[in-house]
Amino acid sequence: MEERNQTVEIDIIKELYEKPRRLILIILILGAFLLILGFFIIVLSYTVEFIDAGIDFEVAFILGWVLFGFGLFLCIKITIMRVPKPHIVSYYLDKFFEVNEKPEKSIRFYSFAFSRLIASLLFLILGFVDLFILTGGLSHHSAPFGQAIVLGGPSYFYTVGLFPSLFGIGLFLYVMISSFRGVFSNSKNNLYFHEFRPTSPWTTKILKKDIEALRYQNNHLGPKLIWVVLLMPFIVLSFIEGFYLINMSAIPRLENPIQGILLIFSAIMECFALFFLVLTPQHYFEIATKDDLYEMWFEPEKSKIRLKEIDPITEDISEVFECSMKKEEISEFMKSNQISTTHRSYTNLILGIFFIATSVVMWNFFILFGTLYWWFSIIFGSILVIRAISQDFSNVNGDLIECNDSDKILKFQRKFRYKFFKIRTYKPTELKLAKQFRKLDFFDVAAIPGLLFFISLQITQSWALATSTVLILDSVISTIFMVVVCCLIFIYLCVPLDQVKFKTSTINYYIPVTLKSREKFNFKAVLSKPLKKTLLLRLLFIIIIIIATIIGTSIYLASYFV
Amino acid sequence: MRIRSKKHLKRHNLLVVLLFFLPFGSFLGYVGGVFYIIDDLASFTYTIGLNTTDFIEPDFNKMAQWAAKIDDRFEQFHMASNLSLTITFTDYNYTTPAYYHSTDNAGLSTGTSLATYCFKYKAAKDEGNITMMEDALRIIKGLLTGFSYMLAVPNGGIGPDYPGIPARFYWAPEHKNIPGYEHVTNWMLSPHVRHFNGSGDYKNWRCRLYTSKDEMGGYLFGLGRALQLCDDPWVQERVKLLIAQLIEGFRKTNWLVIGGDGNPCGTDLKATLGSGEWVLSLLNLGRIAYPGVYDDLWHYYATKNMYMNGIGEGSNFNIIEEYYGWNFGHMDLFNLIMTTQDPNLKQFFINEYIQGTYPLIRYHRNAFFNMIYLVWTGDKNQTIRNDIFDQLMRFQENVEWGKGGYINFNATERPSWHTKNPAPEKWNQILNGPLGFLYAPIALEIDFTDELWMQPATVDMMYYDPGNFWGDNPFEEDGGRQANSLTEGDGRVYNCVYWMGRAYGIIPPPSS
Repeated sequence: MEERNQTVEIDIIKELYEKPRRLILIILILGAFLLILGFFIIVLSYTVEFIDAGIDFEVAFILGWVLFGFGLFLCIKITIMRVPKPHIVSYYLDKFFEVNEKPEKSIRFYSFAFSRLIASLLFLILGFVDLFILTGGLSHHSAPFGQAIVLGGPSYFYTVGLFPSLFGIGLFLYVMISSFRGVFSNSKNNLYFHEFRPTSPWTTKILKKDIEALRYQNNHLGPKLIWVVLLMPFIVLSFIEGFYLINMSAIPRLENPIQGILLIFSAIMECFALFFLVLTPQHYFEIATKDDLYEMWFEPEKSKIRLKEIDPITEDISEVFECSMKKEEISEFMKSNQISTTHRSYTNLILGIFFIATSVVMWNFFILFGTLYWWFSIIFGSILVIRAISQDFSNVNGDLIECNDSDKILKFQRKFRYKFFKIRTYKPTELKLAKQFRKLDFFDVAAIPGLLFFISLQITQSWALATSTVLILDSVISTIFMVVVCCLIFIYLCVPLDQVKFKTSTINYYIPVTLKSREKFNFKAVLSKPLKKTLLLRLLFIIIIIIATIIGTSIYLASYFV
Repeated sequence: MRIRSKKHLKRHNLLVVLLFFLPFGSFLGYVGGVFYIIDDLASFTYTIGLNTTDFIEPDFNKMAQWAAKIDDRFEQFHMASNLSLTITFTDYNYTTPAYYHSTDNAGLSTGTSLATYCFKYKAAKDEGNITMMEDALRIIKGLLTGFSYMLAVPNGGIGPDYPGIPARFYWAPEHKNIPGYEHVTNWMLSPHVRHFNGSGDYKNWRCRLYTSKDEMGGYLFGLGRALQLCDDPWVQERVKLLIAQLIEGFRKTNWLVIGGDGNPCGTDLKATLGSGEWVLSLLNLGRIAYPGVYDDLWHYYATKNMYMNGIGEGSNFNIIEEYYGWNFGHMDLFNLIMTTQDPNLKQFFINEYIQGTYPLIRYHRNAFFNMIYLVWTGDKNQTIRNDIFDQLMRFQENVEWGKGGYINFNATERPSWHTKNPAPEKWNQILNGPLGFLYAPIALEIDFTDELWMQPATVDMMYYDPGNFWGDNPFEEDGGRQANSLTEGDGRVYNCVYWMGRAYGIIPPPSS
């Protein structure tokens, strides 16, 4: 019996540790390749005559589906179906904790990116519906519902459905690969993170004495905002073109407005997909030690997608991270600094709505500013609105800051409907209220110069050709609008926010908060020493872009006007 | 879990950003290679210069006689259906039509001819020649009627209350009675993806749709010249209606050309990167026809949508493929520049053209492009004028031979000192080599077995084609091709250049 148990033990450990990883990776790559190849063959089956492939449409179509299906099967088989079962996980953990410090608290879950799966399905549905109706015709007269790009060009599938389909396939592969069984454990001196992934188990052990701070949240956006940049062009162009092409009164020869309907359908599906990609909760934590940063995205299967309340598993995980609040009381720190327990910051929301609304007005009525400006405007506006929804509000009494006088450990918590944000430090922390400018990320740095550059260029050209009263009036109104935009950008960049700054030995971190009494904006305070340099830099940044663009455009026009 | 060292965080983040942009960078690098190949094939045109040693001395009296002959023949034989068509005769008397030629580009040919006779009208008016004015006006009215049907038949009528689908060709039931029109009638009545019944009152008529920018070039060129140069009240009223119909029609379809089934056919007048001249060109006509109505829309597109920037047509790719694009592109640019009222902006566009397109085509010996250049710039360069005159004089064999007007017959051979461009063969070998597969897709667009000459062919080397030489690639033409001499072109290849020159004082009137 003992021998048999030992054999079983060895077999299980072999299964866990000595899996042929290279073979798994090769099969996974092969599966992904077949999936993508199959998809392209399905699409190009509509063009076999045009490209003279020497094969019938039906044969190519079926072959494409066979490859697509086989690739899908391989990917699923080698990923999700290889995630170790719970009893294997239990056995592994028993063996692991025989030789490691036993955990006092532990949480197990199955991480499955359900929100990404929904987004993927939305993309694939719209892609395949577009493909089957609009077809993948490439040339003159082979697309039944019109051509795009050039005369006799490809069907509208290539402009509306192809890239979303590829996004869908990519997301699907991500969902498969990223699934794992997770176990987070908290022992007296350590945090353990076990990830039982299809290839092999991963274990990360972090000594508590090394941890500076930890944040655990489901409202972290990070690189997810790139989806706005990727999808907004498709959404906007599909809506614009769709509404034109659905107008049968303008085109009496139009027998069937299917083209316009499909474009609008695609735009709506992409909007929903964008919602699932950026606004549905995905758990995230980051642990900072003196030398390293540990981070993970995961979606506990039990949590599902809740949009009204925080899922219950959050509390269990918070217990493991030791960041749950013992008492839901207002701390002395909050009272003495007049920090409100309800956080409300409207800047991102108002700016975001302004940029989106004005973009819609501009492209519908051909007024104010042109295409290149409103592209930046609508993308930046969307990003601001998403940030606002995710991070700028809390429930009533949803903000809590707890700082223990004895050990100076900070705990912070913010809740807003289904969103939460928790921070805990593990080292003595300095805590104070401060005014600090908004931290800029990649999207701010890319979008704001674009907005300023194009608005300046276009207004200069507008004035250069304002040769009648009507055009002068138009330029005056556009200039006023430009001033408003510049003021809003100034407010965004140069008006500091009330923030709680916490400082450990290696970390400076700011959390925007709301004060109970809103004081008037004091420009002199902003010119105080710590803020002055940043203010001047940002202000100069705005002014230099505007002036340089106006001067450059004027020189360019002047040189071509003679 | 992702673990990053704080020490290397910035480097790590930079690496992630670089990896993200790597596919785009790689793609751009690949595209750069494509442009390098195209540039290598075509760059010879920047430096070939002009060989003036065999220029023919101009005889302006003869030029005027040939123009008159072509005009007479045009009115008599080439506008039977108010479209500008080529015709083949039964014999060398050139009086009995065998058949009219069908064409995919009646909008282009008719527009060019309409512009031609508007130039003639202007020249006649400036010279005080009433008879010539009346001759030109008759033709203008006929061709404008043709354009009216090109818009009426697919849309049910003309004017801004009707849709604005432009046709390539139209056919009326009464055309059955035109001698020699049987071929065209059979063609238009036969099923074809581009052939449709008319709308409304014209449902028994036929039209050919899926209109391209070739046709739009003709529409803009012709309608623009009628609006600007012909002050006859009937012409003005009619052309303004057609312009309003086009503008309002395109505004309702987001500037897309619509096909016969009501779906977009791919032609898009909007700019993607550059090429904003199509929308501006049409709106310019609207500003002239309806002062004050389209000013703010035009201003928005020009300045805020930045359509005024990057005006130009074509690239060195057009030297290798699709040379015809330059021909209709120049028509659009001509309309844009000539209808631009602000002198600063006009000069702006001309300078953009001189910086961008002109260096590519200055040595092509293309009389149409050269004449347009002189009209815009007022350049007194005698070499360019002599180049144009030489080309026009080379029509002498073509027009004077036989009793026809401008007819096809055997083209002359290239002179022995003309040489071939070695670049296509060189790249053909490279692309067939070990690493050539990387750029093999280019061969789907560019035929590397096509030979390119280093010197442009002249008009006499293209006599076999009764169409429009200025849209043919002068570096591909081998010369010496045979023809039957029974087919007569509409003559616009000669007359458009000639009358433009007369209208703007570049070609003097005959002394006798």
